[in-house]
Amino acid sequence: MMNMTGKVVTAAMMASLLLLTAGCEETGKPGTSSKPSAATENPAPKLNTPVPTAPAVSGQTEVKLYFPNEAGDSLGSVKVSVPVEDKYTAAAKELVAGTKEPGLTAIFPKGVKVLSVKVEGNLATVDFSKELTHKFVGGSTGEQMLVSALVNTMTEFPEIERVLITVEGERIETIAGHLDTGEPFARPTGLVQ
Amino acid sequence: MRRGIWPRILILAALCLWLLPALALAASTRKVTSFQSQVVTEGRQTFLRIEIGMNGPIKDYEVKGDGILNPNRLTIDIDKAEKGDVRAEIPLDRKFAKTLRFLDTGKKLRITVGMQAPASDRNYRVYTLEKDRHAGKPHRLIIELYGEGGRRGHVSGLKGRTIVVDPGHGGSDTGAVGVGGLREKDITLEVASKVRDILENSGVKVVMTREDDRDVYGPTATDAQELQARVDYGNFTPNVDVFLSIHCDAFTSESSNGTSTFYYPKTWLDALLAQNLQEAMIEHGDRRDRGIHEARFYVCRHSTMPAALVELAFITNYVEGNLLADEDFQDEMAQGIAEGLANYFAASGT
Repeated sequence: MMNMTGKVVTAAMMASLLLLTAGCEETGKPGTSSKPSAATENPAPKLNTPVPTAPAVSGQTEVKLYFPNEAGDSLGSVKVSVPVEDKYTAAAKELVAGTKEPGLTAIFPKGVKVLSVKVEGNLATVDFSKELTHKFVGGSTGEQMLVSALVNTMTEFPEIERVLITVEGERIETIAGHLDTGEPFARPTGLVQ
Repeated sequence: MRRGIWPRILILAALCLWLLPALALAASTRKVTSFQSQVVTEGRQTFLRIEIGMNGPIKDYEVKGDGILNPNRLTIDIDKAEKGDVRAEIPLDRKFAKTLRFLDTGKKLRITVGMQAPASDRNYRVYTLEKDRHAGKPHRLIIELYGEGGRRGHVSGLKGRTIVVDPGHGGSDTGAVGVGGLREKDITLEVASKVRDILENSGVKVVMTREDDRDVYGPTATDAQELQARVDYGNFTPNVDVFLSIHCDAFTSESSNGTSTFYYPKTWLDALLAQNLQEAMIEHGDRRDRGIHEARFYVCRHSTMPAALVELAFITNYVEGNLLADEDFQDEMAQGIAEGLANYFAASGT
């Protein structure tokens, strides 16, 4: 099977993310170590340059946010600084706010708000306002990119391994009619180089 | 010794006598009694139909392209038949073929057609029709010649299959909205209907999750009810071979483009199905190959049979949005999907 999917490397990378679910404990936890800042391999543009951030102030921590490239076939990353005490929600909010990094694009629908992020054990439950599904623009690729961006961003925190998406407190079956979002997603190994 | 031989000779002689009537019957050959050719248009397909009438049923015949030496020649040998009184060489509509020739070879009647392109099962079709008293038609050999672009609406290797075709979205769910207000739900229905036509023409039992612009479960359904209702068409129909969902892709960045296929690997067949669909769509649609993707897609995951979700092209991309609305592109993609299904069945051996 790998040699089939291997045809398009980024496809395979993206793919495994959406496949893996709660049970996949063997899933690696990249990104917490000293790995270089992200950017995916070709055909994604080189996106290694992190957004310049203010020098680390006490009470602030640096987080890595993931955004899809303009072709919609891989993710690039951007580093931002957020308050330590509310880092999970702050990271999710920064992600939803989008980026101005050239080559990267926003994927969250306009007007969507992060209502809360709860972390229990290794599971983060990110609760969004109803605009997530109502205002979503994007087909299979958009949906896949949104989920990939969120799951990669949240699992940058070493204590988070799985991410569940809810809307106004309820589990949703899908965002736009493609992905099955009824269960948590885990980060795949090899998604980000 | 002598005694031994005579009875044998007698038996042989008796056998010959007994066989004579049978031999005579076999030797009675069919003759060509009529010849007719006309250009026929059925739907979007135009072809040349040649009807060769004979004075008896046409039982054994062999059709072959003449291969490397004469690639443009199509040969049909009919056993126990002869030319009769028709002309030996008949000119044809040059758009489809040059000439048709009859040649008596002694045992067989040989018909050769000089085609305008190498003969392949995509540009001709040969079959027989019985005598039709009501229509006043004799026993006939029919030769259909398809010009440039080949025969549409038929793919071999699909006969007897059952396939669920799911046009993505519909009714209260427009799906993605693209350039010029183009709605995904309309395009998916148009392409799915074309796929249905080709499949049915190819001997497939097609189950459509929707035939018009509507919600499959109902307008007030939850997303889960709606998606499950589509899956149920496959799971509750006996012996479904494939569940196929047809979609248009969309993305926030307008530059995003290309064709992709998604699957959930329930067994090894899901990836094989996706790969064959993807390759045939790229061949016919000629868009950027985004490859096949494993993904936890609801309809793929919850279908009990091999399933795939194809994303034809990006409705949010200017070029591809226009293509998706174009009937020729839709025809190509539908043909590609049908051929991809046939290739999948051939590759899977199921």
